[in-house]
Amino acid sequence: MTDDSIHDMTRQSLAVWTTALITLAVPLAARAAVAQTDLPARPNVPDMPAQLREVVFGGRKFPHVTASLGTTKVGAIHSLGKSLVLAWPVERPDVDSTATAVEQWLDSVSDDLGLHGFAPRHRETTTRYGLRAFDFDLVRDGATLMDSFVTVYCDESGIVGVHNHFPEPLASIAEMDATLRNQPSTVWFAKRRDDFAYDVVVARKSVEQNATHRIERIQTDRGVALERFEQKASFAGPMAAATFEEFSVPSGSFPDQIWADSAGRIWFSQPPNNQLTAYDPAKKTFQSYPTTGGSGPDGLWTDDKDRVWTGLYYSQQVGFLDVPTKVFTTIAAPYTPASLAIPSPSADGTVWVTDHQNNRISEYDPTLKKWVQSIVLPLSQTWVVQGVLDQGRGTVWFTGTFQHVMVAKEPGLAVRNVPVTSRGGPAFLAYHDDRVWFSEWYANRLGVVDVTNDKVTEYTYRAGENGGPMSILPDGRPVVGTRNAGYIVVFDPATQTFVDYKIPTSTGLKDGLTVSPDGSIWFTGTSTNRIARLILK
Amino acid sequence: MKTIAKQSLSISGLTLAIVFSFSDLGAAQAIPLTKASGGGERQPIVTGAGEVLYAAMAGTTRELFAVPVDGGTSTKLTTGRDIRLGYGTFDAWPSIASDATGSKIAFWDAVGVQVLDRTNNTVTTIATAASIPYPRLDAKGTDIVYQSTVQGHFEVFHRALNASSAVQITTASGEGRRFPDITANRIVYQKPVSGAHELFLYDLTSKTERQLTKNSGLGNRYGRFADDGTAVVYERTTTNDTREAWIVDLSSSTSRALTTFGTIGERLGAPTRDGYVFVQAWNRTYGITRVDSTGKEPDATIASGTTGGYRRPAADDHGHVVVYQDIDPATGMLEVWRARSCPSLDMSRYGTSGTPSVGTIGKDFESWYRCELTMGRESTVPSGRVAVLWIGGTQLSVNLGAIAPGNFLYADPIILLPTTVATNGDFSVDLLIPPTFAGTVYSQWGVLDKSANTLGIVTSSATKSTYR
Repeated sequence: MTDDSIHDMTRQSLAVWTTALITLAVPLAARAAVAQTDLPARPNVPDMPAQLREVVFGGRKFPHVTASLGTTKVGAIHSLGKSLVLAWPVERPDVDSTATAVEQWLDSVSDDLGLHGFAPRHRETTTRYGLRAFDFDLVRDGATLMDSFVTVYCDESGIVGVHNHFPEPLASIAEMDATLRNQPSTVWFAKRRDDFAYDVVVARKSVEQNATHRIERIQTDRGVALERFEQKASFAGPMAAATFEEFSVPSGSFPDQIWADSAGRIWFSQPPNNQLTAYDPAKKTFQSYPTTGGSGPDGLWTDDKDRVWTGLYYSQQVGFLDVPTKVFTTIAAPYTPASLAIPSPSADGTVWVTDHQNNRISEYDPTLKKWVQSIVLPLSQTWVVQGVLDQGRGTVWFTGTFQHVMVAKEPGLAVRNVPVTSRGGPAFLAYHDDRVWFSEWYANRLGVVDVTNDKVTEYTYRAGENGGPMSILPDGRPVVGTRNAGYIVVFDPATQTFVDYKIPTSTGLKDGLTVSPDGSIWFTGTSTNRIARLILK
Repeated sequence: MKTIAKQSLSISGLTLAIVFSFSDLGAAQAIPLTKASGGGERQPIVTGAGEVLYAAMAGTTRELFAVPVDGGTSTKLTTGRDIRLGYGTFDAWPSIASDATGSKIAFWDAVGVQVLDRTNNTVTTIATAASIPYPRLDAKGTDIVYQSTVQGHFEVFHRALNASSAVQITTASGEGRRFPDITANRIVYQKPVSGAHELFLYDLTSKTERQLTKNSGLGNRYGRFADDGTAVVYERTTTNDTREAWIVDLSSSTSRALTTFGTIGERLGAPTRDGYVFVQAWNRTYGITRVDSTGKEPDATIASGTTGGYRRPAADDHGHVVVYQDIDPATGMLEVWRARSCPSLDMSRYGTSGTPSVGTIGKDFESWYRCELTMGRESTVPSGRVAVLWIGGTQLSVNLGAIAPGNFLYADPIILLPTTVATNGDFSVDLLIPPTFAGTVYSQWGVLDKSANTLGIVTSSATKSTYR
């Protein structure tokens, strides 16, 4: 793509950017200046409580607004339909931290949450993010809305935040035949339309039991819309065959994304410190290398020439560190504003970089030293996270967390969205043998897209453990790091079963997990300032 | 420094052992062959011509290089190619291939599959497949196989290098990579069967395909022909999801395990003609272990890796030399390393042979099996006669004159190794050459022939052998 065409593209997107700029309400210069620590305080918007930062993927980076839930003023993140997806009160409402009290309060603010007549009904109480989590199903006409929920997070002083996972944007809600009401097999299902809005329809849930699995299927008028496998056997892996090693990061904080280079050194980014750090497993030493001030190196990937690529979130650049020479090179984004995040390879030697915040993917050619193209994704606020390459087809797949889609960019074609009907929030991904595996930020499920037919299948692992970063072992087994108690979950595609391994102390797993050439699983404990290795034999 | 070398000698099935000493010029050990090669992997391979071919950065592009197997100056073989390598979790398979002598090298770049012909100094584009085609040449350098996508699936293609186009071997293979390898008229590759990649053998003559393995578990098979073409070394996922090297016999299709490591990690087995297989063994880092597919010898550690990356062992026909990649501790860059299990040998001939009473003494020959060197002579001498090889440390040229007219003593007979003439007239002895043996020796044959002259011995021309 020529510079002119990039300019044309930028002009075409001017309206989008204008909106984004207004919504962000964060001057670019201010962002760059404060990147050493965290996002800047937003005028009149209360800070998001630290415990809620990982509830919504990229929650800290989303535009924060002010809103109301009943009489309670809140800071919030808007959903696509402009209802509230995450809200935190400026002043705590007078609600006890009990399921009954919270449910009554939720009923009173359900219109403000945009629940469209669905009533929150308490399902369970757990502990997540260090808070008491009251999980509510959404029920109407005696049927539950599949894969939708409201969670209210409380501490001893009351409500800390509300997470609203209602399908948005909503196009319609069907009428339920009276004979189907209050039937165990009747559910509401948010069906994706061609325009990617949701029709909430009446569906039938069936459950098949075989020797190893409980298989749940959701049938709509178009057949099976969702198939989900839940194993019956224990998840616990043989700890005797697993070795965890944890290493405290000596310099800086917030180890984020992680990758291995050709020599098996482990690289990870540290956004607050504007540095990339390498760990040498043989020497057991760390060595940090600066990026540029205020750049916020975010995603990280090491290419076949040992160039450590990183998205410089706050300086509108992508950069790479040449490992042999230790020279760090920056490349300005082909548009502004930009928040380049996670790099990944193409089949042509180019590098794709995601921009969650500005809803773009961009392709850079290191040989020609120019941007090839930059694409505004067709669905607004896709929150495109990470890409992965299908080398056989040359297709690069991305996760679109907020829109619950997998985004396929085939060479020479426009991007294509593959809906993830369960709305689990595809977060990180890995490719192997015609399958794109993805973790789900809002569910304890591993998803997979069969790239030959775009069919999505899901597998449920240990309850209470939502997905985080993932990678894949040399033998093709996907590996997911979970974000609550913290497990490394390994899936066997042949038996469709999981085993998991409890991380001993490092429960701060967030965005970083990779498999080094020797099959060791490495991951970052972002909040514990550690990196760790799991050896499965 | 003196070293004691034990040599074995086989005569008519009887093995004798003799002990003698030679000057030792230094113990064999792993040495780096390259330096400052830049980022990324080297993926070295060794040729029968005593060269190591590898990839390294030349400025901003990656090029092919060659370096003598015992060290020396590297030669850049390509310019501006920016050759591509598979790397990472699922592309552990070596990306560079050559014929036996290294005169033809297959690789790929942004254009597609290329063959560098070093004789003609030409680069020929074989196919436009530029996404991990993993080309492989046969030993003669006449045929090439590679994988390329058809309707989204990798398929195997074969092309005779003198043909104008390639022939698609597989169709609708399904998921994953094929990783084809070729020897003579046969191709081996992997395809999915019931959720696992299994090896298949394709006969180019009969155009038939045969499944070689079953129940191989998750992951890639990385099948590779043993150099004699009778077997395929591969790897499979076994108990507790660990990886082991296996071998399948092509005549019987029976498979057996070569390793019982019980660890994670890819084996990437590099077989040899003589039954050695060099594999990656994992113990916190990848090292290299030599396993004996014939079961005669115990496993031997060839190298202990210093970092967590792939070692990617490659060996010559006999397993004398293993090349691999490991870091230069001074720079942290991956470099090409070479380990020798047996000395290199340069031979030259001098002198003339005498005339037996019956027949003639012909040209000399030598061959290796592992570190066992066979030295022999062709002849038309009747079978059953006794022949003696003598080896010394001094080159001589003593005319035996009247007692043996037309015969010369070319080497001082420090060691005498007798044998008998075989039915085809050949005679030979087997010498087990120690790994650390180095130096120059001179050898000559004598055939006991009391009818030929007064001495009763007819001498051959001689051989100068330099071991390094």
